[in-house]
Amino acid sequence: MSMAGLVILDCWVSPFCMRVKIALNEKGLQYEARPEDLFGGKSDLLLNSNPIYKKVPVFLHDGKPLCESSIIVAYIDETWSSPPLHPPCSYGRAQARFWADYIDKKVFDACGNIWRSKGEVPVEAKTEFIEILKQLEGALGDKEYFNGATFGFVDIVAIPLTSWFFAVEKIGGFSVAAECPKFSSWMKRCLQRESVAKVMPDPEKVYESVLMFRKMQGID
Amino acid sequence: MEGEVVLLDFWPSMFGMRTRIALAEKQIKYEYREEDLRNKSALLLQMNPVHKKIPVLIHNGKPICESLIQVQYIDEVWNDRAPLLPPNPYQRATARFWADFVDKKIYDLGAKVWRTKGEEQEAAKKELIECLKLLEGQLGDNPYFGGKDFGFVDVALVPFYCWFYTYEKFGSFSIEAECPKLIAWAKRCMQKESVAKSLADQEKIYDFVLHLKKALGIEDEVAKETVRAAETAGFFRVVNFMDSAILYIKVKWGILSSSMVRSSCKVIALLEGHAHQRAQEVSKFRL
Repeated sequence: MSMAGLVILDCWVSPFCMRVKIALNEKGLQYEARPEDLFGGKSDLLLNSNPIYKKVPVFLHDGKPLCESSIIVAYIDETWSSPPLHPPCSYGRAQARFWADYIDKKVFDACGNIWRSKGEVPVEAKTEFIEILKQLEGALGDKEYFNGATFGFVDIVAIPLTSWFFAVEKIGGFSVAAECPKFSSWMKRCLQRESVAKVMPDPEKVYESVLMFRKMQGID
Repeated sequence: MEGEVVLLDFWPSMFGMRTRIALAEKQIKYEYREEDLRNKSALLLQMNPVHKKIPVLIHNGKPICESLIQVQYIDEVWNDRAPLLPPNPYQRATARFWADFVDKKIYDLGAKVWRTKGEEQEAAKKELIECLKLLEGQLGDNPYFGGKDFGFVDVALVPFYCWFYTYEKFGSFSIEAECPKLIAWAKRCMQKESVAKSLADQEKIYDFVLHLKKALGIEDEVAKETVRAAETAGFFRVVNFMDSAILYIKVKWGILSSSMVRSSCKVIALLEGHAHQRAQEVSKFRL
C-alpha cells in the first residue's frame, strides 16, 4: 500500500477519529480512512505508528504518524491554512485550547459514567453530565459556534462526542434537548454542515454498539 | 509592550513552575501571587471559575488557565525571543504529543508513589520508571527535548525534577539509577537561570509532602471510617468500571458519590455534617 498522501487509521464509532475526518473535510482534503478492528486485532501499522497508546486515530501524512486527535486537528489547521479553524489572535486561541481541553477531560468520561452503569443509573452521574453541558452552553454564549461566527476547532472537538448522546439518553432516561436547549441547537447547526454530516454515524447504530460494549464488559 | 502580567500560583506546583520558566525564558516582568489552596482568593475563583485551580496567568486583566496552554500563549505573544515551540508543524505536533504524555502520566503516577504503600506503590513505581524511560528514548542523544535548544517539552517535564527526591524517599528507589540520561538532562536544564529560579527546593518539597501526608492521613481515616459505617448500614453499592472504581452512597438525603480515579483520592461522604467537611478537605490538595 502506498504511504503517500493522507491516511487515517480509523474506527467508525470513535468520536476521536470523527474529529480528524471533519477537520480534513473542512479543509477540502482527500484522504483514505482505513478501518481498524480494535477488538479482533489491531494492524501492525497502528501498533508501529502509535506504540505509546496503541489507539486510533492515527493520522499519517506521507507516512509520518501523528497521534492524539486534538493535536492532529491542530496540525491539520497549521499545515493547511484555509479555511482557518482557530481564532486569529493569541488570546482567542488560548480560550479555544482551554475549552478543547475541558471537553477532552470531561465529556467522554461523563458519558461513560452513564452508559457503563449496572442497573439504575445514579442521579449524580446524570447531574454531572448535564452540568458539563451547561458549562459548555456558558462558553458558547450567544455565538453561532464555539469558534464564533464560523465553525472551528472547539466545534470540531465537541460535535463528534454528541453522536454518543442518543445512547446516553436512552440508558440514562433523560433528554439533552430538554435540559440544554442551547447546546441542542448548536448540535443541530453543526449537523447541517456537510463536513460533519458525512462523518457522524447514525445514533441508533452507536446505541447498538454501546449495548454490545456493555455485554463485552459484563455489565449486561 | 508587555502590559500587566500576574501569576496566581502555589510554590510547590510543578504546573506553576512551567509558567514561571516560560516567563523567565522570555524575560517578562510579572507579579507573582501565592495562593493558599485551603483558602482560595476571590481573584482565583473569579479568574478560573471552571477548575478553581492554579496556576492562572492574568495578562492585562484577562485570564489564561492550564499550564501548557499558558506556555503556548506566552510563546505566541512574546514571539520575538527564546522560542519554545519549533516553527515546523510536524515538530510542533510531536512536542505537543510528548508534553501531553507528561500531563497524562507523570503527576498521577508520582502522586501514587508518595501516597500509597505495598502493591499499589510498587506498581506505580514500575510504571513511573517505564514512562521516564520512554521520555529518555525520546530525548535520545539531544541535549534537550527541543533538540539543540531548550523547548516546550523541556518546560513541561523539568519541574517534576524537584519532586523526584520526594518520590525516591517515599518509594525507596533511585530514579537516577534507572534513568541516568534523564537526570543528566535535568541537571543540564538546572544550569539555566530560568529553570533554577523557577523550581522549588527539593528538600522543601519533601517537607511539604510530609506535612501533607500527616494531614491527609487523618482525613483519609475519617473518610474511610465513614464509608465503612455506611457499608455496614447497607447504604451503598460499588460499581466497578475499567480503570476507576465508583462508590455510590445512597442515603436519605440523596445519592452521593465517591470516586477513586487513579491516584487522586477524592472521597465525598455525607453521612454526618462534620464528616462531609473533613472529606472536602481531602479533595482540596489536588494540585
